[in-house]
Amino acid sequence: MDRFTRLEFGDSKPKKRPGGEPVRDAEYLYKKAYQYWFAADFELALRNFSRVIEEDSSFFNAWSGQIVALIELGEYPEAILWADKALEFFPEHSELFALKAVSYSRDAKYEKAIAFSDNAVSKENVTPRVWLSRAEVLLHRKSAVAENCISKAMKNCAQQDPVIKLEAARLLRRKRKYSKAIQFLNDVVQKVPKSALAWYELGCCQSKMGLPQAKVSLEQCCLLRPDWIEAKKEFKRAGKRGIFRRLFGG
Amino acid sequence: MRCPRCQFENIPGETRCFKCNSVLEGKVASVKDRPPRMASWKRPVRGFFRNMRKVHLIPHIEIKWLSKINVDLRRMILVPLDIVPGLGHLLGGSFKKVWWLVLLWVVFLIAGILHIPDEIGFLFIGLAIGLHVWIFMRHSIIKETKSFTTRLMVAFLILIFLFFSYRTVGSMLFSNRSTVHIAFDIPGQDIEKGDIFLVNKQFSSEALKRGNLVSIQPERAREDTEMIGQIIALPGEYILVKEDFFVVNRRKLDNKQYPVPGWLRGREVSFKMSEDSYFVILGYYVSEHGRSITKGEIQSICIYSFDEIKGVAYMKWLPLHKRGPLQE
Repeated sequence: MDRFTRLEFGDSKPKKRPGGEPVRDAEYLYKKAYQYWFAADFELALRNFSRVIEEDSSFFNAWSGQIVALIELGEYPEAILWADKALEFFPEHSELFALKAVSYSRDAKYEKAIAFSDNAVSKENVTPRVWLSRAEVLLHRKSAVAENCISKAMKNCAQQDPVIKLEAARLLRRKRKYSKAIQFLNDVVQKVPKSALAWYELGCCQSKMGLPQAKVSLEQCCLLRPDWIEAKKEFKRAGKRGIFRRLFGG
Repeated sequence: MRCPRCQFENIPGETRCFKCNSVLEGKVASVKDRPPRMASWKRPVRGFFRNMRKVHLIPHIEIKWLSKINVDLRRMILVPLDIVPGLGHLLGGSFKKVWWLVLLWVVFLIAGILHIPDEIGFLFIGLAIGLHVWIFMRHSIIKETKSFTTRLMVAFLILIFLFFSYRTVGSMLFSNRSTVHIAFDIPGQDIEKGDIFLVNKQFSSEALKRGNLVSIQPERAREDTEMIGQIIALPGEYILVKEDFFVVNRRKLDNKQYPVPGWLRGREVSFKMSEDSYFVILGYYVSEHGRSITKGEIQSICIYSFDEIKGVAYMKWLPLHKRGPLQE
């Protein structure tokens, strides 16, 4: 079973009760959680992932989604704790080790991060996220291998998964490989046009490259999620690009 | 029942997969589904420590001969090197574990030196010693000791050793310097009773001039007691104490720069200084109650030979806001 086989990004209609209201089962809640994740509302995404587990505690992707959301919220020790908890149910799962590696890496505990990443890669059934986490851990060392890991993740990724593409693009943005990130992000916004997070990332990359489209992308992001302060700030910044910023970037 | 992860067909009724030990669908009775959350106050604290971890102040230093010897012996050798805080860790490649302790130690030590001989100065030095003990205790060879009592004993022994080491190093480094307090006011120089001065104990007779503040061990005082006095008359001069001012060689001195202490005020006495004696005034020495002071007593209190002068004050030390070199 692939990670995102249960996700629907097209117009396929959800299962409905006879009354017309969609059935709020684990799949529905999982979809909802990823909708919030695409809108960069990680708090609500986390809550929905929790509700998925409430419905079906053997739903691995919901467990990993919770850990990802905790990492995005900057709660690294909690993410590690929760990954350990998940490991009780899914022992030796490479992705959980990979997520622990990401948590340690973002918490600036690089030695542990490398150890967990090594462990994750050595397991069977290495998922694209494992390679992405490897890339993130190696990114800290400014290793050239990091980019190879991203390409491996993209190769392993089934059906050109937008989530993995978006994550890869975010990593590339951190590595200042804006043109490649834009390439991925363009694909993501075509697949998930309602993703505020993808528009935001695209806008930021375009802004860094001095492209005029940055303003349009960030405006789109602000329209999709008007309460996102960071996006608003970035939008304002994109509108105020003076001659020095155009010349020297930033 | 098929495992959702490895697709292994398990015996019906099993709760975990026989092959990969995953939880089988629908068999988990109750799971705590809400992850733990971070308290909002922890965010800046964690952010601070995270940023600290990102900082690499000192690169890893590798010593070839040290890396060649046995691991346990190397760990043993590195421990005493921490007599210079952090050195053992630095050479052992684990400075990251203690750099913040070393930084705090430096801060406390500087604060202590700046405030000594005040109580707060000793408090800071005490804290620096405590941190130094902590740096020692961060060595893996000590940390691995499981018995709490043993670790406590080790910490106590290190503490005693460090206490005496700090005393010895302090007295060696500052053997020619000391801090002495003054017991009278000199309004002309913004000096008040209780101010503390830094005294140089190595000086020549040429360095002694009128108005100099010198360190004296008063008669009848304890051996380690020193007080600051002011030189009023130099060898060979004639001094007259009249009402509330001094007259030296028939020249009246400004009583703001050369004040007459309370116990000498109202007396009219004169002295001819010998070739090796100085007229030095001290404060708070003679009880004014009961009887008036005799000329002989004034002579024994105020006239000192060069050998009796212990040092020359060259810096206002405490209070902190007055710190600075003394006016010539």
